[in-house]
Amino acid sequence: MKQIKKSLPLSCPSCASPLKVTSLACEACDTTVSGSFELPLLARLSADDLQFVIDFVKTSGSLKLMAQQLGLSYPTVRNRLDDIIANIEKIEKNIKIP
Amino acid sequence: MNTWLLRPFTYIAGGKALLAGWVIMLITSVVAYFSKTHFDGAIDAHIGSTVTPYYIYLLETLIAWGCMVLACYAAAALFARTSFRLIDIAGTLALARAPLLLAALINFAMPARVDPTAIDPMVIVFALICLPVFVWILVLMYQAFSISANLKGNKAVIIFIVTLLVAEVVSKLLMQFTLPLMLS
Ligand SMILES: [Zn+2]
Repeated sequence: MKQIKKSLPLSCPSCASPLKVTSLACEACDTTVSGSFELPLLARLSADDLQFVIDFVKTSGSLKLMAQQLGLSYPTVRNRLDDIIANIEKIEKNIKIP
Repeated sequence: MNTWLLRPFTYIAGGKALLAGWVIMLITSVVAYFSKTHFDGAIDAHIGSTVTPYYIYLLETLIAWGCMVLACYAAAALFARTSFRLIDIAGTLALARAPLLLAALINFAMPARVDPTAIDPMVIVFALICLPVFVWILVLMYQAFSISANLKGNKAVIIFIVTLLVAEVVSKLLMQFTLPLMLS
């Protein structure tokens, strides 16, 4: 069997509204909890963007160091961060007004 | 390779680009002096027959680059919604002029020294051979502006074209007034 890399679906395939978590399961004892839980804001970022945020925190927020590690120019990395900031602001707006 | 030729500023900008750009600009001005190529404008090249001292070639390059940097900085200050650095604008725009070295070299192959203002077949041949070089420089200059100010899409293209025209006019005027003063 080929291993499929699953990623967390973030928006409704039918109407594109942000999705919520309605059930969580424990694989050890088969317990399921259900309710309606908001996905944390960071979990709503795409996998790539989230990785960027993690790298950013790991480098103590040094874009210069990140640029060096990624082999990219400073403004390229800076623009990436600015785009993620804009994305986060958009997500925040979407969550507030359902 | 393709990304390095067309989108080099994804990988290099800031101080490194400025240093590399300046070195290439210096070499280009020397080559231009020997092949009598004038880069007299933000994005201009003319073949000239007039005897001109070396420092005029260097000044032309510096004025053309400087005007473009100032115009792009002003445009970024007006339209960029995120922070940007002058060093990135100056660096990427310096490196964007690197293909001019090719234009200066190509001019060695032009046999006759002609009056640059006349519509001479040699002038047309030079213009046609250099056309891809100038398209390349335009693409690079746009990338330089776009990456430095984080502006993308149609809006960025329109802002860039206006900025380029302003830089062209200002650099032309500056050269017209300052260079004769230096020569007299
Ligand atoms: Zn839905």
